[in-house]
Amino acid sequence: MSQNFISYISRRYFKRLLLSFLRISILPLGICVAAILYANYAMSLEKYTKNAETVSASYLHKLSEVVLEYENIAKSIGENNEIIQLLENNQIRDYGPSLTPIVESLMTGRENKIRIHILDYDSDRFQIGSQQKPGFYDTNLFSEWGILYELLTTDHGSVICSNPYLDENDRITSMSIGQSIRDKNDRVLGFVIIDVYRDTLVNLFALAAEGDTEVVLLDRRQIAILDTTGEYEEGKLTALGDRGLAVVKNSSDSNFFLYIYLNISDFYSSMSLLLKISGILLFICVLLCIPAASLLARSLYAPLGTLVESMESITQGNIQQRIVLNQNQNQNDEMVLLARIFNGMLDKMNDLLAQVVEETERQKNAEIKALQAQISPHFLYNMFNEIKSLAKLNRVDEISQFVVHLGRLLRRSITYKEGFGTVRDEIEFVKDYLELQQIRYERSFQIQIDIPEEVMACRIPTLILQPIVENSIIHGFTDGKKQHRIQITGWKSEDDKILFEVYDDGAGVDEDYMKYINNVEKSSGLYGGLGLENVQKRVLLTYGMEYGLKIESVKNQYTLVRITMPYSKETV
Amino acid sequence: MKDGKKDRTYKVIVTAIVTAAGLVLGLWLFAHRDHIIPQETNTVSVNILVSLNNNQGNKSRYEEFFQRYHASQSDILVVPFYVISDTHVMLKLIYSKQANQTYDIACMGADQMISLTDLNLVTPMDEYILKSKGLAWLNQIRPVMLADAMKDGKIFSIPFSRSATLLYYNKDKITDIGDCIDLKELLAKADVQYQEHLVPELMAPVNYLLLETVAHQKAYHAKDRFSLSEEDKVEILSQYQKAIQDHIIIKYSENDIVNFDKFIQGDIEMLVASSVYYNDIADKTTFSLGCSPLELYKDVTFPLQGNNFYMVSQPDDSRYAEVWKAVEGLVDYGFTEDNLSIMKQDAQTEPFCHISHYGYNNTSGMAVTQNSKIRLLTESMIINLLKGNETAKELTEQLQMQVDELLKQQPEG
Repeated sequence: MSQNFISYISRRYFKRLLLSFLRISILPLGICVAAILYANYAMSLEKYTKNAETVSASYLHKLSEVVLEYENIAKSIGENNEIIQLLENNQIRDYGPSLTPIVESLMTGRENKIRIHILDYDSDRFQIGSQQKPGFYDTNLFSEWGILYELLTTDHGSVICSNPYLDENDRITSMSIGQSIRDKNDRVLGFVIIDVYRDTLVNLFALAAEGDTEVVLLDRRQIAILDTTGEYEEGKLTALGDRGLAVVKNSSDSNFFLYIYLNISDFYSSMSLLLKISGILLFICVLLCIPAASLLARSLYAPLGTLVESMESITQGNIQQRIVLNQNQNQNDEMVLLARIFNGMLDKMNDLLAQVVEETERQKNAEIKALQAQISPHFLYNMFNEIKSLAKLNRVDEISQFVVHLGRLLRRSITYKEGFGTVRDEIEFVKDYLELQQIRYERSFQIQIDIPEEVMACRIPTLILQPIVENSIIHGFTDGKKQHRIQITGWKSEDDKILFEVYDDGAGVDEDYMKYINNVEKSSGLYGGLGLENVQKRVLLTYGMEYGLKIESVKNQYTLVRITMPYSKETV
Repeated sequence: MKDGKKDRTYKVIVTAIVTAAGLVLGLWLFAHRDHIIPQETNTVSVNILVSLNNNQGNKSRYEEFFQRYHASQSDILVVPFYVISDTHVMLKLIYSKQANQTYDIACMGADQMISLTDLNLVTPMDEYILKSKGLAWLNQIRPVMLADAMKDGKIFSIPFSRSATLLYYNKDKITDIGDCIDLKELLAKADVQYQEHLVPELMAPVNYLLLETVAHQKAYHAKDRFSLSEEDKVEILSQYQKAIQDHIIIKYSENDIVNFDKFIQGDIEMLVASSVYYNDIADKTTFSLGCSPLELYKDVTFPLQGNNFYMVSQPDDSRYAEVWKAVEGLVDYGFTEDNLSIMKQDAQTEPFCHISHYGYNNTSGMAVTQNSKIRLLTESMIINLLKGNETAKELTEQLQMQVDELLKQQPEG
């Protein structure tokens, strides 16, 4: 079996069969696995996305609430008439302590969440209580950049900025919410800035936490305010990478962008496990598919293999080889039919080969006979004797004609090589033969040849008509009549055949012989296989059973031999 | 037939072995590619134009710094071009395009920012700072160091070196002066010591002190940014004019390499000099060294001396990333020669760390486009003042007129 497989594997068709079976077995399997995985992925992702949307909406709501709360504080300070008046009069430095209660009242309950700074645009010394004002709130130094610049260039609204720094109590501030303080003429008098501790934001998101989530909060300039992922640095321009499932929310005024990352590691783990299991199953299936496909391909290929091997054997000369398929195989199986046809074809081929051999043999025999008949010493002796007799009688003209015809006959005999020739050649040959016989038998018979020109150019086997004519003279003109007649007629039928009739009014033939010749394909050798029998078999072998020779005869009255052959124009 | 099969099997085995060996070799080469293939050293070479702030002595300090910096790393190759002043840097930058000379970084005073941006000679650095350093880093820079570095919401320079103007004094002979001393108090102190010993006991770069007094102005964004007609300034100029005429002060020029031997050896009791000399002086003196920052007048300090880094405008934006890499490398390495740290967290190690506790130099700088010309006019005025031919009031009024006239003209360049 394995030997078969090894010999088959080098066969291209077997490989195609094997690959096709592998494809049709593995591909659907792979598609099914991929479809299941994708469906699982899509459904899970949809679930997580919905969850992420819910979580992010909750986070945004919480953050917006807090931001709004601090914006309102900044607004209330920015619109406080007492503060505006002090700033207008450039007295905030002097009256700073009197403002402390106002600010402190706003700070109540928010001490650990925010710091409030009120800055005079023209001065840099105001501070609330004991808290130190960061150096970068120096209006003289920083009014051209950062939050102070944005407040100066923004129309009234609040500004939210990332602003990480460590205060004097070592607490980290992450975000600043600012508002400019303006007089009635829209002149900037100062600023109120609320610094939000990092802890405040972290706690805010921790309280709102639903599930395993991480947050990246960016300001309008894409600078990170808060990052709980640990991937980015707060205070830096941040290009967010692709990590996990992210939902982006921005504030209504686009002052900040909130990126919520839902930790979907369990999703990835389950997907990873599912992938692994699917991979293993697919691998096992592939392993199983290979021998199965191989088995199937081999079973289908086996008859074809046998056929191929048989044909190889035949090409090596073993024409007796026959395809023998499994006996259990269904007799209607195409391969069995193919084998049967192939075997029949071999049989036919063998028959044809035998016929060819026989035809060749007969052709050779005919030629030999013709040669024997025409150039045998006896023939020549007779001919020369005839010439001598004619010479004694001083029949010079006849001698001359006799020699001419004999010469032609001899020349044709010498130059005769091929198995086919034109009707014209054959008729010329017959004429020469008949002329000789005419002279020999002192013109005791009449000759009538009637063959149209279109038939003259036809191609027929050589030595077809001469044996019939010879047969008429030798066997027909033995009835003692003084005058005989030989009539040779040829024509082309409407169904593209040529027909020749050789008629003689001689002794006729026996009925047995007539039947024998007319059915010569069924038996042979009874009459020596020469003469008419030879002609009949050659025509049958050459052209098939629908052609051939028919004898019609009435004893002591006539003999009519009709030869039918296909019309074939000489092309040479 | 069997031989044929054997041959095939042999070929398959040999092919498999060769393939496996090739695969292993390939993987090994891939894993060790860094050792096998010499990595191209990606050294960034930048041309830096350094202003010596009118002090030739600064050149050796910068050279020493760059030498140490190059020894510490090989990523950045700094090619310095030294020029004597900010004005020369400006001229070099303006004409560099025509001369086909490329400068990547300008290292010069922060107060040149307006001139540089007006002439489109420098490019903002926000994007690079915010990407690689961030706000937290920026907030850790001592605010005063960022004076005049920002404009129109953009950062055009980052501080690199800073030095303060200090009064060094002999504590063994002079009572503790305290946190700081202004010019009037300094002159009074010098006068007292002169009257006591009848020899000058103060050595100071008077031209520089008076130049800063006259040129003092508020930050460029303040409305009254050039305010020369104040009585205090005239009074200071008059007092110092007289003190020079009376030889109460030993005047020296900061443009030269200065010899402080008289102070170090205790021959004089007070010395006004830059903080860059602190280590040298402290190492050599045998007496108890006192040190106080000098103020122009109450609450208004002398400007911090030093340079900022600017990224010079390039025809091709792609160059900026490399230039920033160099700037960042230099800033991170830190220029410690001036004894005045840029970053807040380093301030505690300074010998005069109390400077950082108040707004040093919070209202100074001549950041206008015509800065160079105004400075030249002012220097000429101080020279004339100290010659004693004209009064301080007359000279300041003349200067104010000249400056007003100049400011009406189109910016230079």
